[in-house]
Amino acid sequence: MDTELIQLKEVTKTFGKNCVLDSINLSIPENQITGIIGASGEGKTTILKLLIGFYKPTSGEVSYLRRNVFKAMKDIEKCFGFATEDGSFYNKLTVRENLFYFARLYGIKTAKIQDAVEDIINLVELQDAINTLAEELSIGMKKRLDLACALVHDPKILIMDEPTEDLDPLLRKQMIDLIRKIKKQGTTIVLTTHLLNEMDSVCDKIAILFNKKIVEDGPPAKIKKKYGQATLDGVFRKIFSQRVRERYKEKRRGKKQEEPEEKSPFPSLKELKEVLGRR
Amino acid sequence: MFNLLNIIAKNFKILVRSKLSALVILLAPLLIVLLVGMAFNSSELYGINIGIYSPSENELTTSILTSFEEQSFTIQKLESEELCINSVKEGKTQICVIFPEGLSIEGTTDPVTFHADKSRVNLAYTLINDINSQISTKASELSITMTQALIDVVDEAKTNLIPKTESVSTAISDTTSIETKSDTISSSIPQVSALISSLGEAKNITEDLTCTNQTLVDDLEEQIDSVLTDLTNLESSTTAFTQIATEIKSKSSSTKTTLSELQTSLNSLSEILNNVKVTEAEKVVSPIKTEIQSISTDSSNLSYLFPTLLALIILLASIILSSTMVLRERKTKAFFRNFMTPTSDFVFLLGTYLTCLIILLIQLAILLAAAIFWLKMPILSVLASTGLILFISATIFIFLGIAIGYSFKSEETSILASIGIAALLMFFSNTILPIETIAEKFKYIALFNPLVVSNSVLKKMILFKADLMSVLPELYILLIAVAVTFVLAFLAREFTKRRA
Repeated sequence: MDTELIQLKEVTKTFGKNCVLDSINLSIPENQITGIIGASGEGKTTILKLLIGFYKPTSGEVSYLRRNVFKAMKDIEKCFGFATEDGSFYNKLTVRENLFYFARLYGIKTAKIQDAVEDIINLVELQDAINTLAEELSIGMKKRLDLACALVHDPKILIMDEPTEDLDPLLRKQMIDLIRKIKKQGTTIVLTTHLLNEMDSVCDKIAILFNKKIVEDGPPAKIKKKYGQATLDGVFRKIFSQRVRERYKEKRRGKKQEEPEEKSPFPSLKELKEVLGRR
Repeated sequence: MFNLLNIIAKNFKILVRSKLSALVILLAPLLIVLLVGMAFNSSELYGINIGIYSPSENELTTSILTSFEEQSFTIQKLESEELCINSVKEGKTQICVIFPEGLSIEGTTDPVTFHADKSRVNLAYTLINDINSQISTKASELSITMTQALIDVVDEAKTNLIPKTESVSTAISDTTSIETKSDTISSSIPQVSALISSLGEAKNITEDLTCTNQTLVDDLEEQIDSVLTDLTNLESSTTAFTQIATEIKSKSSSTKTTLSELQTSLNSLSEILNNVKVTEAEKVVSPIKTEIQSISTDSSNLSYLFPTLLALIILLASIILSSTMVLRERKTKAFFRNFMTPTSDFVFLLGTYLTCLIILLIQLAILLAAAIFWLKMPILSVLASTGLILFISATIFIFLGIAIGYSFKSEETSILASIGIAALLMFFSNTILPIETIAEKFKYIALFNPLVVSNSVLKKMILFKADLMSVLPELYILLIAVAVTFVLAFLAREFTKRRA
């Protein structure tokens, strides 16, 4: 049985009056790739930031190895690596300087920094750009630099926010290969994406985020089978249409309670347009 | 320590690679020194227009106006008191001076009135002092002239009296001699009587001799008679002479007494006159001499301004630099990764602080070097103590800037807040208005303003060469401010780091 490294229990997160996540439950198993998929703005990045203790949950608990993340911050800082969507490094520093800087901040001993940096540069294949300023790198290279910064201290868990975002198909493939390579080294990976089919072959487990909740959670094959779909894209579309229908029904029920007058059970064209327009 | 150097090195690399920022940071203080040095390196007041209203013009008013013109002031003569006051209100003149009716060398009881724009208090008081001193100088000159004339008269009297004293002494001596001689005459008169008596007796004898030589006797007798007659006449004259001599003696004695009294008086007067030590009119006018002198040996405006300039540069550069640096760090995408590392908040805070401090120290080093080698300011002797105060002041304002940087989300609001707080600190200091113009309650608070304290300490050290021991109370206030601003900066980071 896989060890569950991280658990989210009934986690709700609101920003002001805006509820982003509503009582979600999720567990991240060790040595696996867990993908959190959902449409843009559904709260995927918020989940990742909750995992590392950057955000505090409004309610519920996030735990790492059964310890509240806020009580295990020292471990999280040492054991987690985070590759961000838009690159978390200094544009005015070179690739080498960025890696040296973060390696030192992660507490790697001076004698080992050189080797650690070289290893990671070889892994992400940035040997030719080692002395190039980060701002001068291509998008794909920036993604790899960010990944390198996240891996420089050899973390147990790598969190990747939209790793294939903005990449062309070729670079996307390279990135997926890289993710597999990292997994082979024994790193647990949590990633988010809205490019579903690419994750199909990479993730051991996926969690589908829809309307502030995790609506499906499990191995991709099992989920696809459950919904009778060949691809995750198909699963997502089916879930989406089901949820839209449910939401519409809920709305109708709400209106019925408010308006006692009997109305047609079918939505009007205007109402349908309104619902579809919102999508 | 290793991480601290790592953070500082990173900050500098980023700074140097933003060429414009590096240029501004390094050249800004030089530019300030250059401009301020050129603008304030003199003790003159430039472009000052003085409105003058004088109901009657005479030699004295003309003389005062000439002295104003010698001070490079531009004089505008106005037709009435109202026009003169209005010229200040309209900004055509900086000050209006109204001379009273009948202001002359003989003096007047009415004062010379100044009308100044109090909203420009610093300038107004400077001008009033300047013009007042011009008028005072003129008044002193007049007093000196008049008193000198008085003393000349006394001197002349003294010169004349001393020879007269000698004459009186001679007169007394002469009178004494007359008296003596009169006594001699008086003493001779009884002898003449005795002679007459003897001659009478001789006549009687000659009568006895008639028998022997009658002719000879007759001749002798005749001769004796003639002598006797003469002597009788003489006797009667001597009686009168005796009378006169007695009178002379009496009068001489009286004169002698009078002259003796006069001599005593003159001696006494001479003694009093000799005892008068004042021989210069200026001493009579100003028994205790006063002279307005600068409390500092330096005389240019820049010398007085330099401590304030230092304090202002520290304030503005520290607050704006540190708040901008913090906000830029927060805005950078790498801030999130910094949060993820096991490096403590304290190290990040210290890294930002030290980066700002090093930049400021470079700026201050340029400023101080320019002051020493270009402006020839004698601050080498107090460089160590001044450096310590500059370091403490910079620390306060850097931590304040860091707190501002962490408290605001956007660069615009952060810069606005930095400028706002800097302006507030400047308003409650001597920089814009004298602290004496602030209401009592606020003035008390303003005395703890780090800008006021650091400015005051720097002034004492640079202008008056005060040592550290003499500014200990101020030093404690600054150290407390360091602690308070550090806590503020740390709390601001702690409360806001998760917002990014």
